Amino acid sequence: MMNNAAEGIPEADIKHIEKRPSALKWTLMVAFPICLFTVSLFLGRYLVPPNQVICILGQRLLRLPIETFWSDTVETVVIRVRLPRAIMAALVGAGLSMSGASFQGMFQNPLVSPYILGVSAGASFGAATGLILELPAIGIQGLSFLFGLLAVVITYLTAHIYKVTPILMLVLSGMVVSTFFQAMLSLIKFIADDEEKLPAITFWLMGSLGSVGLQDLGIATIPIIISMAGLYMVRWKLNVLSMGERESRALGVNNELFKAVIIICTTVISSTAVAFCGIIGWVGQVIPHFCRMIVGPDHKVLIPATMLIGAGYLIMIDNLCRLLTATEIPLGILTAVIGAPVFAYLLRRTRGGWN
Amino acid sequence: MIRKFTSFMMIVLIIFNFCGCASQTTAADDTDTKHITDLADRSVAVPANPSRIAAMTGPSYEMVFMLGGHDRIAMTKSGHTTNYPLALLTNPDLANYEGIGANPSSSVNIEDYLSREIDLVIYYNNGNELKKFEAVDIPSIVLTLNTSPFSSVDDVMAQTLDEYIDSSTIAVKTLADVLGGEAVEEAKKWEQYCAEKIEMLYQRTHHLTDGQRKTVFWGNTWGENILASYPLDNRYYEIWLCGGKLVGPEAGTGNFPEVTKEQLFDWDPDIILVDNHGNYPELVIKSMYKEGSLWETLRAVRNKQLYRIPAGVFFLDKGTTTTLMLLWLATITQPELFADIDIIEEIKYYYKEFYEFDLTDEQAQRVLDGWYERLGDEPDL
Amino acid sequence: MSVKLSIKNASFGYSDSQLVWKDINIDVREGECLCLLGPNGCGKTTLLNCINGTYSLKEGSIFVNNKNIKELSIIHLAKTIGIVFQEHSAPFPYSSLEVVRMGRTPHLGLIETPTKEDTKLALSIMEELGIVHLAGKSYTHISGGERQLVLIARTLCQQPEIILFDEPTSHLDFKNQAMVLRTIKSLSKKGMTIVMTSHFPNHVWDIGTRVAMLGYGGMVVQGPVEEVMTEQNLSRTYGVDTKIYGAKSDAGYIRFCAPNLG
Repeated sequence: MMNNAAEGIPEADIKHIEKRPSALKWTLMVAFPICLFTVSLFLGRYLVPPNQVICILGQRLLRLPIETFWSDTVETVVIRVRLPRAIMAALVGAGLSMSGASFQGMFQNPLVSPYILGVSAGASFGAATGLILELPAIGIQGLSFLFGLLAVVITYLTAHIYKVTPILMLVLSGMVVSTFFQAMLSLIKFIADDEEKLPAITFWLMGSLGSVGLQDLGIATIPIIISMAGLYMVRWKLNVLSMGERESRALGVNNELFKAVIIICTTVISSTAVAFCGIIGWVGQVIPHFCRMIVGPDHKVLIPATMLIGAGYLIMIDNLCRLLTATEIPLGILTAVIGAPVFAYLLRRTRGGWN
Repeated sequence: MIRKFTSFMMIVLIIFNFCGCASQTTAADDTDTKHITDLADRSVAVPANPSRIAAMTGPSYEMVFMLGGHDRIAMTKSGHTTNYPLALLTNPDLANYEGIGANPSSSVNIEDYLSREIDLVIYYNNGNELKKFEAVDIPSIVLTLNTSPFSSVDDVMAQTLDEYIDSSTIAVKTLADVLGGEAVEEAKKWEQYCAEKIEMLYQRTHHLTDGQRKTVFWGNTWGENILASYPLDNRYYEIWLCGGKLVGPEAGTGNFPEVTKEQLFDWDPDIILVDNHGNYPELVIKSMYKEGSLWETLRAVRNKQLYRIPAGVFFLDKGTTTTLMLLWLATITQPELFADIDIIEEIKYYYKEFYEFDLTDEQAQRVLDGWYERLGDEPDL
Repeated sequence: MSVKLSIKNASFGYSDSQLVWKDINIDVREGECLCLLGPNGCGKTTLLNCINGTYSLKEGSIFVNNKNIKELSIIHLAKTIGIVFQEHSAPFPYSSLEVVRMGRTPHLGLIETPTKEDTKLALSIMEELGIVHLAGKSYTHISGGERQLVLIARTLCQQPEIILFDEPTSHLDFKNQAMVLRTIKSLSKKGMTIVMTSHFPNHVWDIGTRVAMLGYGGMVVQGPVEEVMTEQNLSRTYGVDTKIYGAKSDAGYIRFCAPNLG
């Protein structure tokens, strides 16, 4: 069946047909998070002269032989307050965006969020339980992470019938499990003594990168990076999966294996993100949609694009959260306030994703 | 067989329901009432001599206690009967008081109040819940507001000394009017004490310039930091009275707006006050003092100027003891200016005068250390 | 000619009590084009889905190249059997080239992405089918017939030995029907083994070499086109009185059937 007629098609034409993003586009997409990351190290309510920032980074990160001429507080602010925050924002932004894109492909629906299987409801419940039990921060993060995983496990097992986990069953089970954990969360809020714990729970739920320190980075980065790598590796298969389970099976794809891998990776990312930063919504939905407008629906380029744009986006929003006022604006609020109208606009532009 | 059983159970249930109805009593229709206006500007008809009081807000027990009305308390907030050693010391009977949970947004189970024949409730300014009391004719008064009337720091500082004294004593005076009898005298005595001490503070500090004042940050320990502060309220004026200058989020939403870490570094206050809300203030203070802690470069940490708000019968900054707390704070913000104040003696004096209790020096020190117990294990921070 | 596909004593039902069909025995030889006819709901599509392993038979077995398909992995099956479903709409606007290239999936490893070679193969197949001009166009922006051809191209990328067509011309207008049928015919001429279900008995004369008529519950009759396509068989299968007409034309003698509407 092989016909060598295509041998004659020049490379340039193939590239044009494939409509891959140009080198310029890629450069801009890579530069976006890098620039934002760098800039955010210079910004903050505590004014640090730019030359000090550069020297501190040079001395501490690159181990350049620079003499210390700055105060301890300045170093603390740059290395222990700004840097972990920027790194976490990048990781969470990239991770949630990749997760959202993967789920949208897997569920063949451009409106799906990474929380559809109940991870955010479970993690919220876990964190609230930790807060009401007055556990130290590590306990709260641990419970949050575990319950996030547990919620998805319950969803998966509920949806699992006769060796397969159909997409529709996953969605429905996810709804049920989310509702359950949300009810449990309400119960916790009801029990919480208002003057002390309820504000803490409410604030935590609204999402914040404010409490991220260097030690948190050590724990959080590894699961997120590994899971992101997992999603990156299966990104092309998402194209096939997005055609529907019947078709992908006919093309030789082990649906159950890939669904499980994608669910595990996205759940680890989401659970970790929620455990350390509370509920951050509207990133996993909006960024993939936006990236599809820039690079097209081919997941081979979409997934890396969401990673880059998502990282930059969350750094940008977090900067707003910590710079605008003396008090911390909860991250979840800004992502919703900015994300929802942007999403509405994108929906109208793309007419629901069906071009 | 099953049908018969079901019918029998239904009849039993219906009978029980009626029994329950029968035991419902409404508040006694006391023809002996007086009208007072509470702090939420509500005009309430209260009994001339309330004898079954439910003191449900945080400061309310201590206020009633100071005014000598604790014998007339039928029910209080559940934490009060166990968490305050000095409350138990000054009134051992407190351990036997009825206690149920209550907080500003909780839902009132009206039957708890009806079954105990409460004739006066001191409650939070929560309109929905207050309606429930009104619906069954249980008089309810609000003595503490959760919102402040100020719109800016300048607004707060614009009040005159008399205005401050009035606004900080009105709650106790209103309660005294409600309780009637000796309480009114007690309140007068107390008001005089407060006015004297506040005027003394004012005299010594009102001329101080900003440069001569120590900056103070007032935080709550939600979790492992003290970044949750307070919105615009009288604290700005009170700290100023003590010769300090409060730094805080001048706008903020909610009861405990949280500032960013960087903002605290930027302010770098001389003194940090750690309030008693939140988890384990002493442990948080200890962790901040630890070597390698994120906060070790803060002035207040280096100079060991982290102070927990004292606690006696209730937290010292609330209830009737605010003035006492200001005396304590003044010895910290302006130690030379107030070198003549022996805070232990002042505490003992207050307890003798207003609680009719002889406090030892040790016990007075425990007040300063924040003697407040929580049930349960403390985590290792 | 060797037997490519063999269905032996097959029965299928969604529940234990009700069988859709039973005792199906079909042999398809290499290079044959078998048309499956039958009324709505008799289970033609289900039979195709059983052949490619999506559904499992209740009884009986299916053999491909003399191997039981139960013993073959999903990937091996995908390399051997390709199936072209009825037209569908995808949620994402992939380019036609991207859709066609997905046919290379069974030849790619778990985390491999298509290479330049894969792309060239896809393009050459599209060229053969006369749709290479659609390569850069969005799959959702082309006509139904063109979309069907794209799906056929995708299946060809799998480089299968057998292709199953599920009602390839339903939802298509007159012109697009012709386009698709022409393509299937040329595939058959080139020696591809084909099994095709169809609502239109007339297609059988266009492209089939053998025909199997499925009724409710099981096989009605099967055999070479000339033998089996009779008025009696068609009437029996479809449950409606059918007449066969013939006409002379430049292309030879053309036969077609139509229901007798009285």
